[in-house]
Amino acid sequence: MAKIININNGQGSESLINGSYTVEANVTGYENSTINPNTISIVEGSNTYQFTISATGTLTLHVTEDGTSAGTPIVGATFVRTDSTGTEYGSSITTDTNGDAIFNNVPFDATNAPIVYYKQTSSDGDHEFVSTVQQATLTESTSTIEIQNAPGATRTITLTDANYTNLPIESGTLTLNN
Amino acid sequence: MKEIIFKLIGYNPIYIKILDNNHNTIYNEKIYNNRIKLCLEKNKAYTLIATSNNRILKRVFLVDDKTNKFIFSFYNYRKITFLLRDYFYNLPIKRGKLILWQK
Repeated sequence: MAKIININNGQGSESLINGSYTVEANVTGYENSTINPNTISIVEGSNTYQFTISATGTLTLHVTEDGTSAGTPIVGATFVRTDSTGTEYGSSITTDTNGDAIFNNVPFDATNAPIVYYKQTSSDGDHEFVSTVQQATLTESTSTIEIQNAPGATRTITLTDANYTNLPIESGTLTLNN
Repeated sequence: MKEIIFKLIGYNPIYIKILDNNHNTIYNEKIYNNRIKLCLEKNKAYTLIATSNNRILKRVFLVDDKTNKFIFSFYNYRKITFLLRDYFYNLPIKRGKLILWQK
C-alpha cells in the first residue's frame, strides 16, 4: 500500500510506522527520477527525513543596453534565484561576454510550470538595473529572457569653494566609489 | 460479550494475558487470528499484555456497556515530516507529492 505525502512549501507530514520504503516523486516541472534518496528506513528516534529533486530546464537571462537580442551585451551583471519574497538560493550567476547569465537545472512544464523567481544583484557599474524580484515560467526546456541595463544617465556635478560662495573650482577630479 | 481486536503486521501468533483489577489472570492464551471474544464485567478496568513478533503491547482498558469492540494496535504510528528541496538551488519545493511504498 502506498502512502502519499503532499508537499507544500518544502514539507509534508504523514503518520507512518517504522520500516523500509521506496520513494517516488510527483513534482511538476522536475525530473521525478532524480528524487534522492529513493529508499528510506524510518527508524525509531528520527521523525524528519530530507529529500532533494532536480530539474533539467535552462533559463538564459540575456542582458543588453537596450533589452533586445541584438543589443550591446552587458558583461559582469549578476543574478541569483530567489523565492517570491526575495530570499536568495544557490550561487550567483554572472553574465558572460555575450551578456548571458545561464541558470541550469530550472523546472519547466508545458502546461503547469512552477514559477521561477530571480533578481539582478549588480550590473557592470556603468549601467542601471532593476533589483526587484522578477519571475518566469518555462513552458519549454530552454527559455531566454531579454533584460535591459540602460547606460547610466549623464549627471552634472558641481564643485565650488566652501569659503567663497559659488566660486567654481577651476580644475580637479572627483572620484565616486559605488 | 466483548470483542478484542489486534492490528498487527503479518500473520504472527499473539500471546495474550488479561488481568483484572485485582491482578488475577482471567485470560492467558496464544491465538492465531487477531481477535478474541470474552465476557468481561462492565465498569471494571483490565490490563492487557500482548506479545507478537517481538513486540509487546501493554494497555489498561475500561469496560463499559457502550463499547463492544476494543481495538489495539502493535503498529507504532507516528508523525513523520518530509522535507523536499531543489538539489541544485536548495529551494523548498512549492508543491508536489512523495509516494512511499513499504517494502
